[in-house]
Amino acid sequence: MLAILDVLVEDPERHHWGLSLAEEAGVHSPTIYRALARLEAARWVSSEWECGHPAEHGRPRRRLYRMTADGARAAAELLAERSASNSGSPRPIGRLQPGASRA
Amino acid sequence: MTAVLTTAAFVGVTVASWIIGTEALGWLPPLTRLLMRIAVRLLPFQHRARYLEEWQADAALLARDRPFTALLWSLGVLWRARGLGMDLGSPSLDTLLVSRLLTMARSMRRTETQAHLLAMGATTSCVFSALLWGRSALRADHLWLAAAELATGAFFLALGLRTLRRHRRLMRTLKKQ
Repeated sequence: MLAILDVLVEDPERHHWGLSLAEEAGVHSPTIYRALARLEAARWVSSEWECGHPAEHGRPRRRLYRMTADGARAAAELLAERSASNSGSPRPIGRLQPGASRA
Repeated sequence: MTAVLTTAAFVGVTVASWIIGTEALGWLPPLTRLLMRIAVRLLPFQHRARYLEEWQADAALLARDRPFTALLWSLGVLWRARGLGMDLGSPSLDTLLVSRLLTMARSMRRTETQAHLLAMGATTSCVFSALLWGRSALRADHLWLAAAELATGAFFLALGLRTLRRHRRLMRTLKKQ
Protein backbone atom coordinates (compact mmCIF):
# COMPACT_ATOMS: atom_id res chain seq x y z
CA MET A 1 0.00 0.00 0.00
CA LEU A 2 2.82 2.40 0.92
CA ALA A 3 4.58 1.75 -2.36
CA ILE A 4 1.38 2.62 -4.20
CA LEU A 5 0.91 5.78 -2.15
CA ASP A 6 4.51 6.69 -2.86
CA VAL A 7 3.90 6.59 -6.60
CA LEU A 8 0.60 8.44 -6.32
CA VAL A 9 2.00 11.18 -4.10
CA GLU A 10 4.99 11.72 -6.36
CA ASP A 11 2.73 13.55 -8.80
CA PRO A 12 -0.82 13.85 -7.45
CA GLU A 13 -2.09 15.48 -10.65
CA ARG A 14 -1.02 12.60 -12.84
CA HIS A 15 -3.50 9.93 -13.93
CA HIS A 16 -2.56 6.32 -13.37
CA TRP A 17 -4.25 3.10 -14.34
CA GLY A 18 -4.05 -0.22 -12.53
CA LEU A 19 -1.37 -1.86 -14.64
CA SER A 20 0.95 1.14 -14.83
CA LEU A 21 0.62 1.77 -11.13
CA ALA A 22 1.38 -1.87 -10.32
CA GLU A 23 4.50 -1.76 -12.48
CA GLU A 24 5.70 1.54 -11.05
CA ALA A 25 5.01 0.55 -7.47
CA GLY A 26 6.49 -2.88 -8.01
CA VAL A 27 3.60 -4.64 -6.30
CA HIS A 28 2.18 -8.02 -7.17
CA SER A 29 -0.04 -6.91 -9.98
CA PRO A 30 -3.67 -7.86 -9.25
CA THR A 31 -3.49 -6.78 -5.59
CA ILE A 32 -3.42 -3.24 -6.94
CA TYR A 33 -7.17 -3.27 -7.59
CA ARG A 34 -7.97 -4.10 -4.00
CA ALA A 35 -5.64 -1.40 -2.73
CA LEU A 36 -7.12 1.13 -5.14
CA ALA A 37 -10.65 0.15 -4.12
CA ARG A 38 -9.74 0.80 -0.50
CA LEU A 39 -8.11 4.12 -1.30
CA GLU A 40 -11.14 5.11 -3.34
CA ALA A 41 -13.52 4.11 -0.55
CA ALA A 42 -11.46 6.28 1.79
CA ARG A 43 -11.65 9.09 -0.80
CA TRP A 44 -7.89 9.30 -1.04
CA VAL A 45 -8.09 8.69 -4.76
CA SER A 46 -10.76 9.39 -7.33
CA SER A 47 -11.25 7.53 -10.55
CA GLU A 48 -12.80 8.14 -13.94
CA TRP A 49 -12.99 6.42 -17.30
CA GLU A 50 -10.49 7.23 -19.99
CA CYS A 51 -11.87 9.59 -22.65
CA GLY A 52 -12.93 8.25 -26.00
CA HIS A 53 -14.79 5.24 -27.27
CA PRO A 54 -13.33 1.72 -26.84
CA ALA A 55 -13.43 1.32 -30.64
CA GLU A 56 -11.02 4.27 -31.00
CA HIS A 57 -8.51 2.67 -28.66
CA GLY A 58 -9.00 -0.85 -29.96
CA ARG A 59 -9.48 -2.13 -26.41
CA PRO A 60 -11.79 -1.50 -23.43
CA ARG A 61 -11.44 1.84 -21.66
CA ARG A 62 -8.94 2.18 -18.84
CA ARG A 63 -9.97 3.34 -15.42
CA LEU A 64 -7.79 6.29 -14.47
CA TYR A 65 -6.93 7.05 -10.87
CA ARG A 66 -5.70 10.28 -9.36
CA MET A 67 -5.07 11.46 -5.84
CA THR A 68 -7.62 13.79 -4.29
CA ALA A 69 -6.38 16.89 -2.50
CA ASP A 70 -7.27 15.40 0.90
CA GLY A 71 -5.73 12.10 -0.08
CA ALA A 72 -2.49 13.71 -1.22
CA ARG A 73 -2.19 15.63 2.02
CA ALA A 74 -2.99 12.64 4.22
CA ALA A 75 -0.73 10.32 2.24
CA ALA A 76 2.16 12.78 2.37
CA GLU A 77 1.72 13.02 6.14
CA LEU A 78 1.57 9.26 6.48
CA LEU A 79 4.67 8.74 4.36
CA ALA A 80 6.58 11.44 6.23
CA GLU A 81 5.56 9.86 9.52
CA ARG A 82 6.71 6.50 8.19
CA SER A 83 10.08 7.71 7.08
CA ALA A 84 10.58 9.49 10.43
CA SER A 85 9.84 6.37 12.47
CA ASN A 86 11.52 3.80 10.32
CA SER A 87 11.22 1.04 12.89
CA GLY A 88 8.03 -0.58 14.23
CA SER A 89 5.32 -2.68 12.70
CA PRO A 90 3.40 -1.40 9.69
CA ARG A 91 0.25 0.56 10.45
CA PRO A 92 -2.88 -1.36 9.46
CA ILE A 93 -4.65 -0.33 6.31
CA GLY A 94 -7.78 0.25 8.41
CA ARG A 95 -6.36 3.69 9.16
CA LEU A 96 -7.68 4.73 5.77
CA GLN A 97 -11.26 4.04 6.80
CA PRO A 98 -12.25 6.84 9.21
CA GLY A 99 -14.30 9.56 7.62
CA ALA A 100 -14.81 7.53 4.47
CA SER A 101 -18.23 6.53 3.31
CA ARG A 102 -18.56 3.84 0.72
CA ALA A 103 -20.39 4.95 -2.40
CA MET B 1 21.40 -41.30 -44.11
CA THR B 2 21.49 -40.57 -40.37
CA ALA B 3 22.25 -36.91 -41.07
CA VAL B 4 19.24 -36.65 -43.40
CA LEU B 5 16.98 -38.27 -40.83
CA THR B 6 18.29 -36.01 -38.06
CA THR B 7 17.74 -32.91 -40.21
CA ALA B 8 14.24 -34.08 -41.16
CA ALA B 9 13.42 -34.74 -37.49
CA PHE B 10 14.78 -31.32 -36.51
CA VAL B 11 12.71 -29.59 -39.21
CA GLY B 12 9.64 -31.62 -38.23
CA VAL B 13 9.98 -30.78 -34.54
CA THR B 14 10.56 -27.09 -35.36
CA VAL B 15 7.50 -26.91 -37.59
CA ALA B 16 5.37 -28.84 -35.07
CA SER B 17 6.44 -26.61 -32.19
CA TRP B 18 5.79 -23.49 -34.30
CA ILE B 19 2.28 -24.75 -35.13
CA ILE B 20 1.57 -25.70 -31.51
CA GLY B 21 2.97 -22.37 -30.31
CA THR B 22 0.86 -20.35 -32.76
CA GLU B 23 -2.22 -22.35 -31.82
CA ALA B 24 -1.57 -21.86 -28.11
CA LEU B 25 -1.00 -18.13 -28.59
CA GLY B 26 -4.33 -17.90 -30.39
CA TRP B 27 -6.07 -19.48 -27.42
CA LEU B 28 -4.49 -17.22 -24.82
CA PRO B 29 -6.62 -14.04 -25.32
CA PRO B 30 -10.01 -15.81 -25.13
CA LEU B 31 -8.81 -17.78 -22.13
CA THR B 32 -7.70 -14.54 -20.47
CA ARG B 33 -11.12 -12.97 -21.12
CA LEU B 34 -12.86 -16.07 -19.78
CA LEU B 35 -10.87 -15.92 -16.54
CA MET B 36 -11.77 -12.24 -16.16
CA ARG B 37 -15.45 -13.03 -16.65
CA ILE B 38 -15.26 -15.75 -14.00
CA ALA B 39 -13.39 -13.42 -11.64
CA VAL B 40 -15.91 -10.64 -12.03
CA ARG B 41 -18.69 -12.96 -10.87
CA LEU B 42 -17.07 -12.96 -7.45
CA LEU B 43 -17.81 -9.24 -7.10
CA PRO B 44 -21.09 -7.63 -6.05
CA PHE B 45 -23.44 -7.21 -8.99
CA GLN B 46 -23.21 -3.40 -9.18
CA HIS B 47 -19.42 -3.41 -9.53
CA ARG B 48 -19.08 -6.14 -12.15
CA ALA B 49 -19.33 -4.08 -15.35
CA ARG B 50 -16.81 -1.52 -14.14
CA TYR B 51 -14.18 -4.02 -13.04
CA LEU B 52 -14.64 -6.23 -16.08
CA GLU B 53 -13.88 -3.29 -18.37
CA GLU B 54 -11.00 -2.09 -16.23
CA TRP B 55 -9.38 -5.52 -16.01
CA GLN B 56 -9.90 -6.26 -19.68
CA ALA B 57 -8.30 -2.93 -20.61
CA ASP B 58 -5.23 -3.73 -18.52
CA ALA B 59 -5.07 -7.29 -19.84
CA ALA B 60 -5.39 -6.01 -23.43
CA LEU B 61 -2.47 -3.64 -22.87
CA LEU B 62 -0.40 -6.49 -21.47
CA ALA B 63 -1.46 -8.97 -24.15
CA ARG B 64 -0.16 -6.78 -26.98
CA ASP B 65 3.37 -8.01 -26.52
CA ARG B 66 3.10 -10.41 -23.56
CA PRO B 67 0.04 -12.65 -24.04
CA PHE B 68 1.26 -15.26 -21.56
CA THR B 69 1.85 -12.58 -18.90
CA ALA B 70 -1.71 -11.36 -19.55
CA LEU B 71 -2.97 -14.86 -18.85
CA LEU B 72 -0.99 -15.00 -15.60
CA TRP B 73 -2.33 -11.54 -14.73
CA SER B 74 -5.89 -12.72 -15.23
CA LEU B 75 -5.18 -15.79 -13.08
CA GLY B 76 -3.93 -13.43 -10.38
CA VAL B 77 -7.06 -11.31 -10.76
CA LEU B 78 -9.19 -14.43 -10.35
CA TRP B 79 -7.20 -15.39 -7.28
CA ARG B 80 -7.66 -11.97 -5.66
CA ALA B 81 -11.22 -11.23 -6.79
CA ARG B 82 -12.90 -12.74 -3.74
CA GLY B 83 -10.97 -10.42 -1.42
CA LEU B 84 -11.89 -7.42 -3.54
CA GLY B 85 -15.51 -8.56 -3.56
CA MET B 86 -15.51 -8.73 0.23
CA ASP B 87 -14.07 -5.21 0.43
CA LEU B 88 -16.66 -3.86 -1.96
CA GLY B 89 -19.46 -5.21 0.22
CA SER B 90 -22.74 -6.92 -0.42
CA PRO B 91 -25.03 -5.92 -3.28
CA SER B 92 -27.75 -3.36 -2.63
CA LEU B 93 -31.42 -4.37 -2.61
CA ASP B 94 -32.22 -2.89 -6.01
CA THR B 95 -29.34 -4.71 -7.68
CA LEU B 96 -30.48 -7.94 -6.02
CA LEU B 97 -33.94 -7.33 -7.45
CA VAL B 98 -32.55 -6.69 -10.93
CA SER B 99 -30.46 -9.83 -10.67
CA ARG B 100 -33.55 -11.83 -9.62
CA LEU B 101 -35.60 -10.42 -12.49
CA LEU B 102 -32.89 -11.27 -14.99
CA THR B 103 -32.69 -14.84 -13.68
CA MET B 104 -36.46 -15.12 -13.95
CA ALA B 105 -36.48 -13.76 -17.49
CA ARG B 106 -33.88 -16.33 -18.52
CA SER B 107 -35.86 -19.07 -16.81
CA MET B 108 -39.02 -18.01 -18.64
CA ARG B 109 -37.33 -18.12 -22.00
CA ARG B 110 -36.07 -21.62 -21.27
CA THR B 111 -39.47 -22.72 -20.00
CA GLU B 112 -41.19 -21.41 -23.11
CA THR B 113 -38.88 -23.38 -25.41
CA GLN B 114 -39.41 -26.47 -23.25
CA ALA B 115 -43.18 -26.07 -23.50
CA HIS B 116 -43.07 -25.79 -27.30
CA LEU B 117 -40.91 -28.89 -27.62
CA LEU B 118 -43.16 -30.89 -25.33
CA ALA B 119 -46.27 -29.83 -27.20
CA MET B 120 -44.66 -30.97 -30.46
CA GLY B 121 -43.78 -34.32 -28.87
CA ALA B 122 -47.32 -34.81 -27.64
CA THR B 123 -48.84 -33.96 -31.04
CA THR B 124 -46.51 -36.37 -32.84
CA SER B 125 -47.35 -39.13 -30.38
CA CYS B 126 -51.08 -38.56 -30.82
CA VAL B 127 -50.83 -38.59 -34.63
CA PHE B 128 -48.90 -41.86 -34.61
CA SER B 129 -51.37 -43.38 -32.18
CA ALA B 130 -54.28 -42.42 -34.40
CA LEU B 131 -52.56 -43.86 -37.48
CA LEU B 132 -51.77 -47.14 -35.75
CA TRP B 133 -55.28 -47.37 -34.40
CA GLY B 134 -56.83 -46.79 -37.80
CA ARG B 135 -54.62 -49.28 -39.63
CA SER B 136 -54.63 -52.23 -37.29
CA ALA B 137 -57.61 -52.38 -35.09
CA LEU B 138 -57.56 -56.18 -35.29
CA ARG B 139 -53.97 -56.79 -34.23
CA ALA B 140 -53.32 -56.95 -30.53
CA ASP B 141 -49.62 -55.96 -30.68
CA HIS B 142 -50.44 -52.79 -32.62
CA LEU B 143 -53.13 -51.97 -30.13
CA TRP B 144 -50.60 -52.19 -27.35
CA LEU B 145 -48.26 -49.99 -29.30
CA ALA B 146 -51.02 -47.46 -29.89
CA ALA B 147 -51.85 -47.52 -26.20
CA ALA B 148 -48.19 -46.95 -25.34
CA GLU B 149 -48.05 -44.06 -27.81
CA LEU B 150 -51.17 -42.54 -26.29
CA ALA B 151 -49.73 -42.90 -22.82
CA THR B 152 -46.51 -41.21 -23.95
CA GLY B 153 -48.53 -38.44 -25.58
CA ALA B 154 -50.53 -37.95 -22.40
CA PHE B 155 -47.33 -37.84 -20.37
CA PHE B 156 -45.81 -35.22 -22.66
CA LEU B 157 -49.02 -33.21 -22.56
CA ALA B 158 -49.05 -33.30 -18.77
CA LEU B 159 -45.43 -32.17 -18.73
CA GLY B 160 -46.20 -29.40 -21.21
CA LEU B 161 -49.15 -28.20 -19.16
CA ARG B 162 -47.08 -28.21 -15.99
CA THR B 163 -44.38 -26.19 -17.73
CA LEU B 164 -46.94 -23.71 -19.01
CA ARG B 165 -48.38 -23.32 -15.53
CA ARG B 166 -44.88 -22.67 -14.22
CA HIS B 167 -44.40 -20.11 -16.98
CA ARG B 168 -47.64 -18.30 -16.03
CA ARG B 169 -46.70 -18.35 -12.35
CA LEU B 170 -43.32 -16.80 -13.14
CA MET B 171 -44.98 -14.16 -15.30
CA ARG B 172 -47.38 -13.25 -12.51
CA THR B 173 -44.50 -12.93 -10.02
CA LEU B 174 -42.57 -10.80 -12.50
CA LYS B 175 -45.56 -8.47 -13.00
CA LYS B 176 -45.97 -8.09 -9.23
CA GLN B 177 -42.32 -7.18 -8.81
